[in-house]
Amino acid sequence: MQKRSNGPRRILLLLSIIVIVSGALAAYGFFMVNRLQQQQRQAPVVAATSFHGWLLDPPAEAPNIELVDQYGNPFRLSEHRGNVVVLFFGYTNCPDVCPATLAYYTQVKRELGELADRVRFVFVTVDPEYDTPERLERYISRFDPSFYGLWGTPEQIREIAAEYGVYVEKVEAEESPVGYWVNHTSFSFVIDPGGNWRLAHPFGTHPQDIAADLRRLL
Amino acid sequence: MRRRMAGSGGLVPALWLLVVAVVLAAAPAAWAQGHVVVEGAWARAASVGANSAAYMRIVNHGPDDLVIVGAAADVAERVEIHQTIMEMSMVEGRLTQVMRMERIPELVVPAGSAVELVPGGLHVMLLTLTRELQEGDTFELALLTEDGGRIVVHVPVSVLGPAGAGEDAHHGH
Repeated sequence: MQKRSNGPRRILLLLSIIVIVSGALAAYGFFMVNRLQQQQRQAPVVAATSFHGWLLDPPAEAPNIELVDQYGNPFRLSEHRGNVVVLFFGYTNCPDVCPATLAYYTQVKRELGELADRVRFVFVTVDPEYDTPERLERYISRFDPSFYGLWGTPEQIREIAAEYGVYVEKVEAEESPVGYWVNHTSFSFVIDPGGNWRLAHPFGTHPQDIAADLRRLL
Repeated sequence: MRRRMAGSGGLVPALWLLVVAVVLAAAPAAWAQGHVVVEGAWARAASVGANSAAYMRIVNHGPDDLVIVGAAADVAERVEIHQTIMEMSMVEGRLTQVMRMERIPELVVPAGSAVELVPGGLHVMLLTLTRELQEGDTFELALLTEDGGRIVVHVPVSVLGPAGAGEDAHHGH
């Protein structure tokens, strides 16, 4: 029998194929384990009949809001009857919770699909001395320019925050570029199409859960 | 007549390249130094001059506690580790929820355990960005350890974080 000169090459080829297949199986195994771990970290399923947010029961008429939006237009909460309004109080220098909340709102909006046409996402600044409408416009547009960024005089903001039970406190902080942080309540408030204050979602509520609650109110 | 396998000269190296590609594709986006692995790092997109934050999971596979005393990145004028704390307290007789932040001068990752930096919790605060952080960017962040070491992490920038803030992309309704 003629000696084949490409025998070693064939063995090498076979070896390469074995390694590739093993590598592929290992990669598949890794992805499956990763997926399993992700599933275990998911929130457990909650009964579909209850809201995920804290319920205001009985619903109360939402305190009126008359402020100016980031484009300089007047904003009146009463003009948004027929829509659901999601309301948050924060400030633009906030590095963690406030941008996270607005990012979650973009996810809620995506979850809702067409229903999002009837939802208004509203951010009210609790630092009106630093946050101007122009600053709010740059900040909000990074997430969604259709979201509202509301400004008012310190007196107006103080009054509205108090009516919504939102605590606001400036605390000196040497590391802050502006010399302070603002401690504040971080709930998202939900107002239904009838203008009633219905729900409060604590920061960290899963966007899917917020969307599910909003669907029930629409 | 001798038959040669067509193209067998280039085929084997190409196959090895494929093996390497498959292995690299399967590797998690993790940065390891010694016994420490940093997984899932990301930072939120923000404008120049604004504040932002970076998040990650720090896993200490080693036998000793890891003590992180700070962080450094040239995308911000100042970089510090902070923790957001959600508190309920009585304010003028009313139960009030307040969110505040606390500077963390020492972040300890005990031997054999992990610490998660997530929105609403521990985070690396990036103060006064020196450039815009845009979705898709990447920058280097160094975690500084008590013993003078640096753990360098490559941090991608996004608005929502990995897989949209931890959501399972396959979750259907």
